[in-house]
Amino acid sequence: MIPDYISPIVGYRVWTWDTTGLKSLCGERWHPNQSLAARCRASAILGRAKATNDVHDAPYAHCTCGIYAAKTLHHFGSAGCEQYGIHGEVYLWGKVVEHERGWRAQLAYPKNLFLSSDGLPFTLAEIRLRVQALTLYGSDIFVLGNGETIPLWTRSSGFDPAGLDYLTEISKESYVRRKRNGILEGRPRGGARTGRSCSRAR
Amino acid sequence: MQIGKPLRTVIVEPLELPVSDPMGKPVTDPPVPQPEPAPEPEQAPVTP
Repeated sequence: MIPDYISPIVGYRVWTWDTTGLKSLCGERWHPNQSLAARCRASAILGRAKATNDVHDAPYAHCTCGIYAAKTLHHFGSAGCEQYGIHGEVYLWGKVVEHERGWRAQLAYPKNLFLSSDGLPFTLAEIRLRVQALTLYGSDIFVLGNGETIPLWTRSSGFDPAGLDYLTEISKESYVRRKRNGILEGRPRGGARTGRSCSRAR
Repeated sequence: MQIGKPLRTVIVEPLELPVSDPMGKPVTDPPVPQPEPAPEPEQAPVTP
């Protein structure tokens, strides 16, 4: 089969993250140095008899399976995805279904990652553990703060002092603010996150 | 994520892949080394 494109498509998506790395909103883990491969879970939902006729490789044009990404930052923003703390560009390749405002792909890997200061954990120790886990993906990492995009870690240069200083600063500010308010809990900034159904999107 | 109606399906085969493991095969755990059996204690000579 002749390919339509010989470079990966780049989309925008959001993840959750912890000290073990990145996860889709539905909990699917993204492993460092390993592309995520889509698989259709419709068979598990539809039941065995129906699934026999519905088993297909993901993404299938007439299904909702595949790895989701938005086409533009505008589309991404309108979906309300900034609230999850980490987003970025993602490479998409293999079989890809184009939609009006996004893509469903067979294979994907993060291209770069942007941390929102609102989604960072409170303690520097926790931040360090999480960021260390992110560097294993080899994707450039930035922090969004004060209306700026601050480099934190790049594949070519490693950690950037500007990004580290910024993390230290906002961690100190957060500690002072919580101490003043009498709150010293381990919740991320921005309060509790609302759950989101993710039965289809990976 | 709401991405609208499907438009078309394309095949993307990058000349350079962004990862070393392009097909997303599951990573197999490295074999766990088995501990060597402890040497049997030498038997002390039995003296009558």
